[in-house]
Amino acid sequence: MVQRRIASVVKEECISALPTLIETITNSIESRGGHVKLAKNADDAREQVVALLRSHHVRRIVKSKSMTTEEIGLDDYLERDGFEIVSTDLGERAVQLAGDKPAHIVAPAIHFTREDFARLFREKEGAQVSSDPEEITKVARSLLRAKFLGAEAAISGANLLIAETGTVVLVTNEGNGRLGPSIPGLYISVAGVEKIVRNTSDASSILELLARSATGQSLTVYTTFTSPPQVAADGHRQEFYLVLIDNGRLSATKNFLAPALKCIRCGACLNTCPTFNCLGGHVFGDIYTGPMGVLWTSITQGVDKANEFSDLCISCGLCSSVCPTEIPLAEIISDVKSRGMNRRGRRISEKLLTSVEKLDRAACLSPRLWNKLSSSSLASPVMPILGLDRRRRALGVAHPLKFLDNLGAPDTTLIYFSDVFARYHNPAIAIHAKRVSNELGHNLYFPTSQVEAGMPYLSYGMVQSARRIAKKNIELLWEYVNLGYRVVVTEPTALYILREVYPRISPSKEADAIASNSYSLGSLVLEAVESGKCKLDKPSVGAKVFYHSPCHARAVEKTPYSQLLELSGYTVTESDVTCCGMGGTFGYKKGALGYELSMVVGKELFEQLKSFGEGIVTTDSSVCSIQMSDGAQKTSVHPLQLLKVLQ
Amino acid sequence: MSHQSLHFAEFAEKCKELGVELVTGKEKTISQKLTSQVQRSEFVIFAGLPPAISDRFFALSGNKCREANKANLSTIASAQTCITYSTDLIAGSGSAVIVTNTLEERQATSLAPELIVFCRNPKVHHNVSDFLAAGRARLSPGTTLTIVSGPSRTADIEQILIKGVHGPKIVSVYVEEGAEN
Ligand code: SF4
Ligand code: SF4
Repeated sequence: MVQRRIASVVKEECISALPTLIETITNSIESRGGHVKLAKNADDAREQVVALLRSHHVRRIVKSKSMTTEEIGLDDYLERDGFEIVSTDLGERAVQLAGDKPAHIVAPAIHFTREDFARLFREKEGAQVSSDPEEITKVARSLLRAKFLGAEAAISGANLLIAETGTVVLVTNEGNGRLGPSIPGLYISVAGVEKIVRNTSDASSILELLARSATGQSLTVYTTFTSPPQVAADGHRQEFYLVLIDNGRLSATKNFLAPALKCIRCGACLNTCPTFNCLGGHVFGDIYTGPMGVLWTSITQGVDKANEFSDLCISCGLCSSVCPTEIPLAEIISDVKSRGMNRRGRRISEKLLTSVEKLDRAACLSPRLWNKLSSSSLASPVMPILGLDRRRRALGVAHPLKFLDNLGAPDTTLIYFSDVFARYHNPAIAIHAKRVSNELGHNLYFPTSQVEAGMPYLSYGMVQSARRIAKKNIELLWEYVNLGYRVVVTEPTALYILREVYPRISPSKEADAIASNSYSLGSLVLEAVESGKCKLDKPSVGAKVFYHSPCHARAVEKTPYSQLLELSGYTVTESDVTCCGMGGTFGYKKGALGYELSMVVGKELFEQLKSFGEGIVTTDSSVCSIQMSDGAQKTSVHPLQLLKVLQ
Repeated sequence: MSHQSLHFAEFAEKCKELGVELVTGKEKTISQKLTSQVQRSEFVIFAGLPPAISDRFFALSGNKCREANKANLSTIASAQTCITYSTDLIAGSGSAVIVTNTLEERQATSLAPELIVFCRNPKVHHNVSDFLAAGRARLSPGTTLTIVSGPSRTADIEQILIKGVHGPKIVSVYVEEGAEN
């Protein structure tokens, strides 16, 4: 955590000093005989690179991993102009031979099988090779070795650029980034301006974090600091050019996309994103893919382009929680969606799904009438008219939750921040929360003036509305937190909102204080059990329980419920899928970008539930519970229902 | 136990994890091991060795060896083993810091299928940050500093780990103890 904080601050400081850093690195490199070019956009960058290659009369080029050259479409451009440009990273070479584009920033050929690799090297390079990965690698090494040795120029990206020393830092596992620039007489590094850091101390705060987040290594195999110009043993100097790319980055420093410039291209957000993992980079992305792809496409090609796939984000928040430089990806993606929505207007389904609390309140005026209507045969044909999928059911309502316990002193009372599900649809959750709180020796007080948490507004890009809601809830909860009360939730999304979202969309010391005084009720139970203050009853030792931990729970804490259920004597099977696919209310929408996608994402969970067989199914998330019911026909309960605290 | 010994123990552990052979000993032991290593190899290239050390190795291995700075690219590319030098090791990542001052030295340490990193009483740092903070990173113009953490590898094919893509497939670190630097 500390390392993430440091890296985030370092990147922030560097981004805010970019114009100065561009000047510093230019001076450092040029004073040593190298050259620096600043390219305004992709066209400019391509032309500058071609001009350099032409003026040096070179045709054969080797390239080491560089998403920035993909961003500017360099390979196609050079090939059209008669240059031979060879990507030397094994995955990128396969992608290049296939005439495809990278599917992932760290693993560009993640969508290819070993057979695809072998076929490409056989068909495009005439190699005799089986589909054994060892053999493919050996063949690729020898084919590419010839390209390296015959190269007249090397092009690489840069993971970092150190302004003070004019150093290009490149990390690779294969060694191509180290080998490529060691051979020819011309070396061009093409990098975005955001890669510049001030000094080695800045670089060190990022390098280990990058390796860990990208591939789980302590350090990438080769971390190479090249301080050009390099010289040969006979004193001959290699020509060095740094082509710095702006392409929207400098203007992004002044708008809502600024935090995205802290990105160190580790790929962790892609690896964790449930929809990216189902759909892959060719659907969820353009040149840059997945969560970071929404941000980088917005920076380099504009928000309209990013809006072509930003709706594939189901707002689970996992990307923000894993990002090593603390980029609030999920919130920025909401902003991107919001701009798209402002342009096209709100769809009827979006209007409806962001008015859930109002509708619930209206339905609760006569729960019997609503429940009759919503479960009648009339309901399902109406769903598609409203932009919702007919296979989903409208939820029944109960008399809304009004009261739990009296307000006592801060050390004996917990403040309940409910969600619409426990408040209007399933107050049994709140009743169990009260029971468990009482068993812990606390009152559970429910301040009725609280409003919905506001997640759907963020999911559909209505950031202003989400902000208004945040302000109301912050104002209300602050009254209690200021007096020393703790806030508890039963719905993980509510905790995610309090801890992660409100402090970002409505930053204030009050929001921060609420964030650090908010807990899932389960975590307080676990804390009390672990400190020996109480224990858990074991009503049915050995009974089988399947627990699914929701995305939003994992985005903010190590979920306590699996452990609590085990301590209660249950035999627990925990799902190992990242997301059920529901994505808040996303899975309610009809069509490919709604119900269908949600079912694709949820498929693995449904299979795990089926193979679990008979037993109790539990999850703390209301929407996961709906999804498990619709996708696997399993009824679930909230884990609090299975816990009994003994003093 | 001193900090250095603790760091070295951690370095040794990490080497095991990465599949890096770690050889430690006094001058005689190291010389013997290196000689047998060189004898197994058809052609060895030296890159960035201090003159006294390369003289010693030349004496051990006769005409099987060549200095990278006195060889052309095709000669360098034909070497099976490269012996280079390091003054700094990094415990947490099992890395050796290699500084090359010429393109030929960089080529030699990149191209050979087998890399031997020779050190004499190296300074062992806890992690990269400590190494960079110690002010021992030479980033002067013309130099390339590489932190090498094990053999070259890829996981591009179905995420299966394979060693030896473009760089050395075998990496060994020889640490000579008790000698004057
Ligand atoms: S919030 Fe979730 S679904 Fe959206 S981009 Fe991030 S990880 Fe993917
Ligand atoms: S946005 Fe964050 S997690 Fe995603 S690639 Fe960039 S640094 Fe990594």
